[in-house]
Amino acid sequence: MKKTDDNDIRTLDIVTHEVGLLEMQDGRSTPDDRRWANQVAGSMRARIAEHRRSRLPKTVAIKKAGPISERLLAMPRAVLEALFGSLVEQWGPQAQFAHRQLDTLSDNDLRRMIQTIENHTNRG
Amino acid sequence: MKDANTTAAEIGRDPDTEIERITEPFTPNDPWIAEFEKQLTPKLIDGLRNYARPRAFAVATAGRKVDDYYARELVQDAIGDTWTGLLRWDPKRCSLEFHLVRAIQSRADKHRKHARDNPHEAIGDETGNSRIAEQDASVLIADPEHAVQRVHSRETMARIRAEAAGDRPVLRMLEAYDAGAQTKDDVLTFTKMKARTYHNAHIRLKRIVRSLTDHQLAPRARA
Repeated sequence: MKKTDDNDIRTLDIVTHEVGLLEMQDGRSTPDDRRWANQVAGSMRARIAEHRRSRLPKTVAIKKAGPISERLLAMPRAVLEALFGSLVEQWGPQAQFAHRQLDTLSDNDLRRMIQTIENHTNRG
Repeated sequence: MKDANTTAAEIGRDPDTEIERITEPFTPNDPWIAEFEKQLTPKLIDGLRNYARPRAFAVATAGRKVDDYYARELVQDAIGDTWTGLLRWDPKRCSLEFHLVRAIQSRADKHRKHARDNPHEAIGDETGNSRIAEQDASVLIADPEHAVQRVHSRETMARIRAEAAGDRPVLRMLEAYDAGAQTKDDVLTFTKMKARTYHNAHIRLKRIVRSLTDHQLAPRARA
């Protein structure tokens, strides 16, 4: 009797596993089932997003710009524009610098931009 | 024959206790999270629910009260335990689908064994008297075979065989499993049936188990 029971347990285990695999491919889903699946996926995405947020640094230090070099401070506007032109020509699209909604640059903005480009291209 | 149910290597669990003994805290790295997020689609989750239903049926045969929510719970637990690292998944070794199927299979099996080893009578469970009363009532209001009752593996397999009565390929397939077959190849070797016959018999077996599962997991109105 025990042997029969064991056999039946084993056979039932295999049958429910095999049938389950078939149901996975070809099972039925009600709108409520699909809604539930979407909710579970959404809830896991929220947990993943929370995990990612938790790994971000609590505070991000704001890096203050260093002082403009004496060399650039001594240059007048025309020399600065010529220097900027030569840098653009030399580095092309590799040298990109974004300003937010600025129509014109002050002399010091221009100096700061040239200094940043020179520092990043190890010039200056 | 190869034991396809021994999957500890694939999902990194202890087959004796199901849940791996954690020695180190689990911190998923970015590639792991990216794979988990990519593979965990609503379609997969719904498919896993469909996989879990027949497994829930097997748990019910051991005496535990289960319903469709139990099948959902199996899926959610497997996903949650994988995310927390209680069940280890290595994306380089197997797909998330494979891992979760094995996790559900293993969890349901554990519940089935627990229910079998710890039978209990709760309020609402049947007792000797309630069973007699229910059978009496069933004669009047329903087919007695469908009365709410605790069924066991032996009875369940007897019901599956009875449902398959006259369907020789399905019965041969069950005989093959009884004889130790586990995989499709094992069954084909034992029964000497063609792959197409096996496939069709498998579909018919699925219908039988689905029907019994639907009946077992259906919500029941309290008397």
